[in-house]
Amino acid sequence: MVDATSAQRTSTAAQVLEAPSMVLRAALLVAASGGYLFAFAFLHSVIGGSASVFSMIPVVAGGWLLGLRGGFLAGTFACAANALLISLDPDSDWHGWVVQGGALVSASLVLIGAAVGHLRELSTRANKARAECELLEGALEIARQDRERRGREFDQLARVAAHDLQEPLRKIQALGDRLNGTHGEALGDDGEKYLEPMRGAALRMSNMIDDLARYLRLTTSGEPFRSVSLGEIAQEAVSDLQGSLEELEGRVEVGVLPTIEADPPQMRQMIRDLVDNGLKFHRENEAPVVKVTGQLLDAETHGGGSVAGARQFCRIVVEDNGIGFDEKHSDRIFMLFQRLHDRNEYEGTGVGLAVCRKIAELHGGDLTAVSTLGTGSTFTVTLPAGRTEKELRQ
Amino acid sequence: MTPQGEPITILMADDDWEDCMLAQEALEESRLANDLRFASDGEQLMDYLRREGAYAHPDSSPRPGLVLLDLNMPKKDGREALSEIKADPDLRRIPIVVLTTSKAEEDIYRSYDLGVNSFIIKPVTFNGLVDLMKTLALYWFQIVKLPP
Repeated sequence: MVDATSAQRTSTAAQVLEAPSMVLRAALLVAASGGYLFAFAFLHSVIGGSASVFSMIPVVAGGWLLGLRGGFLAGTFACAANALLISLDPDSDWHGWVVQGGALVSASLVLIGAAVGHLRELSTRANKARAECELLEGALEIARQDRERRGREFDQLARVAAHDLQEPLRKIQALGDRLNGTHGEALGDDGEKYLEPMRGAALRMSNMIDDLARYLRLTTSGEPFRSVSLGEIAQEAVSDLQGSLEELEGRVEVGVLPTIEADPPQMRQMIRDLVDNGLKFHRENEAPVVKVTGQLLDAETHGGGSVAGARQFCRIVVEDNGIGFDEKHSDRIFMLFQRLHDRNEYEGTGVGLAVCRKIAELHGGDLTAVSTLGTGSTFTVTLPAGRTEKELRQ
Repeated sequence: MTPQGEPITILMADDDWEDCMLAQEALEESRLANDLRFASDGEQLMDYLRREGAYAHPDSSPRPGLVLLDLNMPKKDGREALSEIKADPDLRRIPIVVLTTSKAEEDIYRSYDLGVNSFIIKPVTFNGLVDLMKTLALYWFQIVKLPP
């Protein structure tokens, strides 16, 4: 029976056959064939038709040494030689042909055995491959679960750290407030000069921790993507900002926005933060107006850039008529806690645009900005329209 | 005030002694006559309510008309205590107001899910705390009818 090691032997024999040059190989084959024929003819002349039995030898040898094909070739050769000699022999009779038939049958059996062995070997290899495949899938699943677990741990850590870090700050604010209440007069203006900034610092740090936790948790707390109507989301974002809008007597114009595959709460947060940004940095004595427009584009007509791979992508443009900024800062404004203005001029920790860009990146997209100082700014979000969350979060 | 004219007891469960101190001062500032008592963790809270252990004598543990419950406490936290109180047929009628620093949505959801009466986030300013004490007393002891 042919087993796995026949593959090794096959290669050895193949090496023997392949090692010398073509000519030498041909010479060896001819010599072997000639030798066999000579031996066979001699045997035939000595014992007559019974010598046909020995035609099985090259078949067995071929099947064992060279595998199925080798056995088949050797068998064909042996039968042909056999038939030739018997037909040439004037003394040959039906007896010789019977023996020839017998030899043929045995040769066939050997070939069938070789075939079965070969098939078994193929099946073994297939099983091995399947087992390896399952192992790999198992390892992949473990890695995915591990990553999910670490994501949950990180999320929990960010939340707990934010909460625990807030506690001392709360105390500083509350007790500072109490100190002001009970001993404000005794402290006088001088005391106030120190106490008030102390409480202000604690409040600022408290806001920064909240914002940092919000930023860090973007990566881990995402929801599965689903079909999101950006128009609806934009309306929700605008209603979130109702208070600011009334206070600033501002206006938001929302155009027709497409529907894409995205994380709904993150989209809402991103649009809200972009619009809020446009409202916040308004010009003095000028009511802020923020325009939100969007469109679906084909990758072919518009390059694609950072969203290469997506066939269709979505562009959202948020344009304001505010104070604008010098374009040399256009990368810096997206960095965490980076601000272009004194905190006495404009409130905020400098995390809003970093959050927006992070959300765009988590969706496989990007956020850029252009601006003219004193006139206004335009923020452009580019997102793939239909990328699945699975593809992105692998 | 109870019908007998006794001050209604407010029981505050909070491990943070500064917060307890501020609550006491806020109550005094608001000129409310309530008797404010403290438990520093969930176990003490349950001992008080069940009149067990150190609180076996009824004089040491007058039944509160309102419980102010912090969620994060050692030994037994507010969430566990809340669950136990609402499961206890003798204790579940006592109004419970969670007073905590946590803004987490899960905490708000779970507290109401367990049957808490209100969920309040601790004010940061002292005046905020004074106003809160006044509001709570007005609402729970004058507007609302407490269980007999």
